[in-house]
Amino acid sequence: MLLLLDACIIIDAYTLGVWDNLVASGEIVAPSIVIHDEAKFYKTENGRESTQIDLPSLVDAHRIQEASATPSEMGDVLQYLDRGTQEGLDPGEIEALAIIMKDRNGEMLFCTADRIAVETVAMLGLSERGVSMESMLDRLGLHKEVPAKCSEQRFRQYIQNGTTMRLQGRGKPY
Amino acid sequence: MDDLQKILGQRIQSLRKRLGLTQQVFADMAGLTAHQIVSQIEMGTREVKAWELVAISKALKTDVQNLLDVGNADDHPVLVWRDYRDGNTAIKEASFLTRCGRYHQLEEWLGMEPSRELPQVDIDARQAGLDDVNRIAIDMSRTLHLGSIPAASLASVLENDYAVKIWYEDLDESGSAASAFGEFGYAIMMHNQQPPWRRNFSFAHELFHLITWDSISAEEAADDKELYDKTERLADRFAGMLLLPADALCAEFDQRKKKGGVKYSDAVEMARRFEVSTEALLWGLVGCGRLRAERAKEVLADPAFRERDRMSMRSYWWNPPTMPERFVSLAFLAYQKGKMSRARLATYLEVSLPDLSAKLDEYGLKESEELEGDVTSS
Repeated sequence: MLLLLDACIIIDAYTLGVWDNLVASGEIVAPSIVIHDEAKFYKTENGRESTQIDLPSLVDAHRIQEASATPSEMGDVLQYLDRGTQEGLDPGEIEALAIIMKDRNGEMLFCTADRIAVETVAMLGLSERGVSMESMLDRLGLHKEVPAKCSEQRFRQYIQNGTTMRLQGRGKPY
Repeated sequence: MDDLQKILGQRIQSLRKRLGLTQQVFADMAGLTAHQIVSQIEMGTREVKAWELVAISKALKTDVQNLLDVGNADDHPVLVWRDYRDGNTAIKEASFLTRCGRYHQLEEWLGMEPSRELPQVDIDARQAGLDDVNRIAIDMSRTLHLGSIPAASLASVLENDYAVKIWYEDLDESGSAASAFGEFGYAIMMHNQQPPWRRNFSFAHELFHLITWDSISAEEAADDKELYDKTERLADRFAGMLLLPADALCAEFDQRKKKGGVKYSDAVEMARRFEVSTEALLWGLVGCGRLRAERAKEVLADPAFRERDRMSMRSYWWNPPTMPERFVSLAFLAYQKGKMSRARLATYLEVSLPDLSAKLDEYGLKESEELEGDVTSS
């Protein structure tokens, strides 16, 4: 099972102190935009100290994997979404969705805590390809208390929202 | 060759040229190692990597979504500049227009319509005289409900009641202000290094452009110096009349005169009270017949008056926010309601993800679930 993480999850993992454990699982993938542009540092709890995140080095050392989508594939994702949803997603999230979409029969799971990203996963009919941070950590045997926004309960609620939106015809069916 | 790759290359080239950037300069801005890569991308012979597309969009002061939007008509609204000086304004304009687009997107997400529509005034700039402008200023002050100290409420009324997007930027080399109209509605870009009273005058000046947008063509004025200069004079006159309503100004002056004359300190204090410059105040008094023009010039040239004016500035000075407070509030609300992701919120607020909490803190906002509830449910 491969786990595709968005920038916020990676930064949260560093902050919670579980990043090294995640990497050790050998199952971590990140979108190219997150690796080269978005996850560059994180801040300690008090918000004062910055610590660098060097994802390209981890990729070079084969400790995590980099996945990418072409601009064309990213454009294809946007075609399925209404204008408001397009505008609410970050490029890293759009790339992650494109990666999941082209890996239609694969087993890569997209881990995100952002409401709009989770709802979009469900809107695209890819609910089974999304996973909460809480569930991801549990699967890897890392039982850590996570913020409410990263909980499985919250994730399920957003999946339900997105499924309802799909039934209401938000965006084009995939 | 992928169709999108080709179209994307053409769009990137078009935007780069609009910003007046050479391929070399653009390559540096986008973190690309050589200008030949830019050439290949623009010709569609080299595929852009996803993360390169992000860097390119930032260099072009736009969003990835806009670059990927094949059906995008690439609308570029015209900006009208005040006190325009030669300089490359293209990059500032592009940033400003992208910010206005985002501001409008927030209003759309949250279902916010302006409570009132900014009125349009029919005027022939070539024929219009000072009396016409005086009348427009009086009417506008009443319509906008600005009260007896219009400067105190003007920016707030424009932003909150009429959804005029107001951004502050360092425009030192470009001009003192600019206004625009587009899909996002009306917008003003204001020089953030000006004293507060000069900003107020600029707001009133820009308001004239906004309310005459339909009758005085910005494109025509840009090509006709005589029309441009006349319009600017009308806008200045309008600003003076709007910010210094004759009734309130004369009443204040007469009251002070009755109590033993109008000293330099009185004049300075009046200017600060009306939130205008001392120069605007004195010429306002000339305009309503309380002061002779020659005396206004003498006072303005007197070093003692200038020193009195300068001394009062410190206690009345305030710096504008780096981002409009309304914009930040709406962005946070849109995020709380799940309209945008956290990373997208960081982009809108122009900070990195780890710095987002600190930025929100500056505006008194906190991402704490414990501080949130629903007023409508128990």
